[in-house]
Amino acid sequence: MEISLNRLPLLKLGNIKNLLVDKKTKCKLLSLGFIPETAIKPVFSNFSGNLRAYEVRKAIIALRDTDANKIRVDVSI
Amino acid sequence: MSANENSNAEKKCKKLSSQVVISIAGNPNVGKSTIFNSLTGLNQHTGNWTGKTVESFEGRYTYKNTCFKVIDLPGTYSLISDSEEEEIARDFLFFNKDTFCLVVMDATCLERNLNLALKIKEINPNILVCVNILDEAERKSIKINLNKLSELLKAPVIGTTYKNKKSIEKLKEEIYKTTILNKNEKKFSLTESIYPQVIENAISRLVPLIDKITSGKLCSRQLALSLIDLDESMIVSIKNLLGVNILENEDINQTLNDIKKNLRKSNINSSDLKDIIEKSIVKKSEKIYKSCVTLKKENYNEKDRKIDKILTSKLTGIPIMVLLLFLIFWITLIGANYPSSVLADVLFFVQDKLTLACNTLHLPPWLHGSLVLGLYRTLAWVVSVMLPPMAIFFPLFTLLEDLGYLPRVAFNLDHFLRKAGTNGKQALTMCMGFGCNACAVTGCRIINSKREKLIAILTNNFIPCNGRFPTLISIITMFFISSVPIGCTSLISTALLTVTIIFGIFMSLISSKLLSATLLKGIPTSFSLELPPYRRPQVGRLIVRSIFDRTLFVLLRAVVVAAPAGLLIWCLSNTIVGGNSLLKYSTSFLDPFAKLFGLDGIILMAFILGFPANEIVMPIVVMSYLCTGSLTELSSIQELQALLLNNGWTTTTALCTMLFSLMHFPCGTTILTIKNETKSNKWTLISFILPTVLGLICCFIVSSISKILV
Ligand SMILES: Nc1nc2c(ncn2[C@@H]2O[C@H](COP(=O)(O)OP(=O)(O)OP(=O)(O)O)[C@@H](O)[C@H]2O)c(=O)[nH]1
Ligand SMILES: [Mg+2]
Repeated sequence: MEISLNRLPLLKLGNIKNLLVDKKTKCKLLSLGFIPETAIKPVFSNFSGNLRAYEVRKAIIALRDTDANKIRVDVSI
Repeated sequence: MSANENSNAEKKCKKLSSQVVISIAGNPNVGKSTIFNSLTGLNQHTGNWTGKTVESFEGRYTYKNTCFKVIDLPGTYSLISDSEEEEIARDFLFFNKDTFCLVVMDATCLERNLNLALKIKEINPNILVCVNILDEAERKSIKINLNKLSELLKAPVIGTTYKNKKSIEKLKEEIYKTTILNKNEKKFSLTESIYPQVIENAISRLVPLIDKITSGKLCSRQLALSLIDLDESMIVSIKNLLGVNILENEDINQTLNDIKKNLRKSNINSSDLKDIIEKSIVKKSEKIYKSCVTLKKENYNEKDRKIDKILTSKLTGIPIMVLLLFLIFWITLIGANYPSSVLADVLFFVQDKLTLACNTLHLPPWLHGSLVLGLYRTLAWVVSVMLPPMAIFFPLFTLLEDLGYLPRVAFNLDHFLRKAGTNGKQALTMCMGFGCNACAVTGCRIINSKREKLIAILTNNFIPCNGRFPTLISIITMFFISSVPIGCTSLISTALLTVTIIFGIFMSLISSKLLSATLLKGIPTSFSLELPPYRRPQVGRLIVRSIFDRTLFVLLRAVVVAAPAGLLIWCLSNTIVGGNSLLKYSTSFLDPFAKLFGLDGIILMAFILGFPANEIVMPIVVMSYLCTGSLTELSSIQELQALLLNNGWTTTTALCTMLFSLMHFPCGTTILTIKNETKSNKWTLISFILPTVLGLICCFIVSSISKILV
């Protein structure tokens, strides 16, 4: 099942499928490790819940929900 | 001492005929600047967060009679530029493909680091790989087979740790060996195909055409790749360098069209191209990673996550932040108290001796007055008031920085910054502002969106830099805690200071909001923030570094400004024209205006004279009162308070002076930096006007209210 990354529950593993963003953002995300077929896990969020930290390729990267909702992940793993 | 070392290296280098150039590249926060410092003995700033270095720096060292010029590049995640500092690094690597590149990797995050190493190797096969931060890897039970890594990467690999001097010597030896000894053998290029066949074919068709235009000066393989992918910033960079637009070339254009057709035939459209390129590299680094690294504990980051929970959670995140701020100020305040008074005693004792000497030598009174009572006394003031708090504050702050706490602050504050229409990285630049606003303005380069970067630059000045702390602290101690029972004075004054600073942060947010609603309208762009692993700082090294490097540097700047300012004040107050001194004339000219805002002419003039360096504002105020009055000696805070009270200071004056210190025009250095960074007179002017106007408004409100109440 495919959902947007911002809906992935905390500490649940997902598999990145697709980045539905403009070219420039895509470059940035790809180089940060958000590459299709990579496992990703939300690890904690800030107090407003609008910003969450994701563990991807052993690094912790924080994204806002407005950006994370453009990343599609598969949760059936 | 270290600066000396480097100038020695410079001298030695001049004698040697040849020079080897090495650039240091790698992901952000992997310890590039730390290695640069160990190699050159320089003191480049380091810190545990992404984007500490935003400009490239140069240094030199000699080893076995060879001169090495080292260039510390800003960290990059990829070679596709995204922000200014990444572009600097990419352009350097790209346009200097014959220089030797030291690729630094973080042993605890090797897989992602390998990506960049592979990409750099594509541009420049002459790399030496340095696997750094091995101590942390060991702590986390990550085992890395360096020999295997070297074999797979086809490049020399060396492991380093900053605590281990031997590993740095080994690094020097390895650099020497690879650059000088087997200069010829090591020139191999990585021609193995990484990408899918269609892309590889396309590359090999473009390469000869590109070589013709650039005469082999640039890395044609990488350039071909960016042409296929239409990387605009790269094409612009090349145009700037060669003066030709590569896309205007007939042959290239035709070939590119042809290539596009082929790609479409193989079901690759241009939007997928980036993914495919990136994925191929990732696959390769994954393969290398798996065969070189063994993890004893799969979840070695568990502890960091636990700390993160506490530092960022709903309940504790913000309170801990405020508490830490409070704690730092408190230690600074109580720690600085005693040394400050000792320093003052010593320096004023010297003043007495100087006066005595002047008297015995029968020097004319004006000479004694201008040099000792003007110049020396102001200097003594600035040093005794500034040095101790700085020497305590800077190391404490660097400690937090090295631990890796600052990105967590950005994480916590992003919510507010988002409301203000900007992004969480602004919190990082705000933190830097506590040290020095000018440095913070340069640091704003880490923000990729132009609009948000401008906002960060224009609002940074609301964060009081180290030069303004002494003003705030001394006013708080004199006027706001006198009625507090002895014993908790330092706690109360710290609390007041913290409140003042938080008010500054608040004003910074408000003005960000104001700007993004008016002059700098726009929607927030995408935002990502790396939260690095917590690292154990090396306390000894940290203290030495922050005292010698930052404290003395800032102090020197203040001293250079304070000396002539003190001289000027003395001369003005002792040049009598028509019954009144020039000082009196100028301050009474400013007086009516200043009174409107709860200040007085002298305070306003001190702020104006303090334009080159904020540190001297309070000393000038005191000097001016001293020069006009009969008092000449000040040894305790009570006497100082009496002096101010005698000159008409009230609680309102104190409050307004604090507010104006928090919110007024940036200092000269900061203004210059803003001009440099924005390249616009308009924005420089706005950065001057915005805080000044807001400050005056606040002062006006406070003084009006107090006039009504009293
Ligand atoms: N434990 C440990 N920490 C290190 C080592 N080398 C560097 N550090 C720390 O890692 C952090 C980052 O170091 P920097 O030298 O600023 O990193 P950088 O690569 O220049 O970072 P950017 O300029 O942001 O690209 C600092 O806090 C250093 O103290 C090491 O060998 N071991
Ligand atoms: Mg650096």
